[in-house]
Amino acid sequence: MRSPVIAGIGVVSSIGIGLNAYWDSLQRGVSGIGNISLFDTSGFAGRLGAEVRDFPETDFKSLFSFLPGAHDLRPGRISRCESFGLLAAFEAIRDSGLDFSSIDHERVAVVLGGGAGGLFSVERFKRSIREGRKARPSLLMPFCASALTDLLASVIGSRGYRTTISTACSSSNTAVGMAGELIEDGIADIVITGGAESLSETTFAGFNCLRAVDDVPCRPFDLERKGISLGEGAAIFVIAADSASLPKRYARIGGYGLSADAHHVTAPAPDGQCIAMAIMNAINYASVSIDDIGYINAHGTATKANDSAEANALKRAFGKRAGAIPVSSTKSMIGHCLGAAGAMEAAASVMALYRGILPPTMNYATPDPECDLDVIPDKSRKADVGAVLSNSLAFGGNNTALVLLKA
Amino acid sequence: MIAITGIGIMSSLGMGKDKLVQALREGRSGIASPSRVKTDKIKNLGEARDFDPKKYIPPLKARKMSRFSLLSLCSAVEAMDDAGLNAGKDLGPFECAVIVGTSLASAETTDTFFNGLMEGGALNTNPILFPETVQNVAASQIAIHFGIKGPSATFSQGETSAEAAIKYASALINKGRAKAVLVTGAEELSAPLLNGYYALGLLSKKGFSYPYSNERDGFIPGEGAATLVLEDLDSARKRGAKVHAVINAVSLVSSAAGRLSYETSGDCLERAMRSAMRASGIESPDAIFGAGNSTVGLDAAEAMAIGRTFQGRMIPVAALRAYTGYFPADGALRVATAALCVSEDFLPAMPGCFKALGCAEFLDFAPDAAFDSDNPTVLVNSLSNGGSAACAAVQRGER
Repeated sequence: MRSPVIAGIGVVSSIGIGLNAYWDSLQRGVSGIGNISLFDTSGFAGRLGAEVRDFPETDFKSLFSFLPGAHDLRPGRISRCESFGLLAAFEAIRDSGLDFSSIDHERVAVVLGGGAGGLFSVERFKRSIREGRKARPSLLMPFCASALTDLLASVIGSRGYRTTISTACSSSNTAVGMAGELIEDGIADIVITGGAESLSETTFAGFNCLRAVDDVPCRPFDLERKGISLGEGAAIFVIAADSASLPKRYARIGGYGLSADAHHVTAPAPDGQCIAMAIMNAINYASVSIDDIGYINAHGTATKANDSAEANALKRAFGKRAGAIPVSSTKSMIGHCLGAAGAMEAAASVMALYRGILPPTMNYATPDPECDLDVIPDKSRKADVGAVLSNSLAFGGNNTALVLLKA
Repeated sequence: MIAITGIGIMSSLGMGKDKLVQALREGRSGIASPSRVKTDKIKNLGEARDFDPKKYIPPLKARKMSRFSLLSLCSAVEAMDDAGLNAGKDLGPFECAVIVGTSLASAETTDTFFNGLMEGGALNTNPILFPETVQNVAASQIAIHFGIKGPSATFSQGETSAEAAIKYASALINKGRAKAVLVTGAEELSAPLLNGYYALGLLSKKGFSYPYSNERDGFIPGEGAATLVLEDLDSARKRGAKVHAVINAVSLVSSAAGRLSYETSGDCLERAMRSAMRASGIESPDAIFGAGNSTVGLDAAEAMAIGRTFQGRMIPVAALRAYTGYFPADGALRVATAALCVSEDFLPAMPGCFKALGCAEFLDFAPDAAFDSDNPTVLVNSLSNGGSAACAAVQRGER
């Protein structure tokens, strides 16, 4: 069976543009959570977020001129979310060193995770209309979750399997897992996967009206935690089969596991049983033992409900070992990036494996006895691990666990 | 082999699959002037006029759900009932899965929620609405209703959303990750959605849906949901389940296409059809359930793809979107219809309300025709703006 390898990575985040800047910040505990300039947040209880600042003005048509479909990239027609995804994809493709002009395009697949995506563009459109200003209908085009998938696939010229997962917070975790599966099943030789997300007024207002947003930077697993900090960004991966000649091998995709809570449209089932099932499904798929996992990148949104449920799930899955395995939430630095969360956290997990350094949980002041875990507080930690677990536990109970292995 | 053991359908042809079959046999289209959706943007719509969720779920529960969730859940209730499966008793909760395909989810709920924010600021946002703005809410509602805890995913890939869901669900069964999977494809109609389509110039001005005709000028939006219960064929037979049909293959491919544009040559759909036939081991289907949605682009691309794939052979094409209008995730509805048609041995011709407006030859067959073959196979096509294409091969299960 062909094993899927991560051959290239690109990242756009509030703590750095580019994989190296991202990883450097994660290691040093740098946070991107602060004031939002993208839209007016007055009136909200939780006003902070991890906004991508200093995104470079980019001529995407020139940037992608080495690929067949670059002419599809029309300035002014690319949403904020898509621009993050495109820049991350550019970095990943270059990073992989693969020659995209000479491959069989019917064997190239694109599978991305989507979230609010182009919603920010639609909001601009509606606000313009409301204020009596003319608004370009093209702002409505990126509304569908598949917008970036189609755009990227067209640019690359891929003619193979193409789809978009739309399961809120776990979308791009599922996408990465599925990408690995496509390689194993021989459906594709190269898969472009990951996800991108943009802040939007709707999600900001939505989480706030559920009283799920903290008024200080989010504090995963902390006793005093009051909710999330929203974020945005993108992480894109180039996945290939290990039999291919690859200049770089960051990690292998071991496997993934899915489950449904069947409990509530927003709140997780407190006992964590179904989350534990997703974790065991991923472990079994990856053909590793539960004891092989050396680090866990938690979903760790910092809501009371998620972190307790997740801690319970880890105890169910890992038994007595649960309190000893290092587990951190990188959302404490990059916020909750919704459709891009799974991919951005997978990138952090891959780098933890690749560099032997585990990123910290920031803003951790008071331990919560219900979450009695080693959360790697405050400072990253050197550790050579062979297998990493990354969890994404979505609204509506869509749980995805991803296992990544040393290359 | 993947068996379809349960079918549930909510559409403009009525509540329930029996109403759909009846309408098709009578050649009666469900497209009519707008009733529930107040709009001046289009003359006709494929609204699910008779849809009454109270017939399937408790009213208190229904009140909190978007139309998208309601259509999805009600079709799932009919399908599970049809399959005779109880997720708690017959199968363990972890042995069942829920996979949904939708391109638009509840655009109306998102629109209403944001309107509240624009009009009255943070304090004017309704927390009951927000959960129904996310794309995976229908899958969540279905899982909660039946207590299904196995794998769950929602696919959102334009007009191949439902096929992506069906393909993934089939793989779950083949790989032993689930014993039964509910697959739902659903979209709702709303005024904000029509306003968006209108602003983008996509709607038919003439007000009819006559795929492949010379007079076509754009689609008529419809709405609905179809749920299939999928199981392994041998397992289904062992428990004495009724098998409507089997799914031999689902092919998903793609090519470059501009935003909101269909790939013009039909090459991508041709590859999907050839791949589905190869995987099913068939040379020629007995019918094609076309993707034709009365747009200039899609219908032309598909006609070319069919012409090249079946050079010289005249395969009858059923144009279901003439009956229901068009909605992106209606692939599940058309696969379900194909299953019902091969099972009950009839092939729907164009609805009786249309005069021949430059009728493509492959549409020219008698109403309520039966299949020639003893074991008919149908290809169900989808081609999406943005570039993805799908073909599902459906065949009668053994009697």
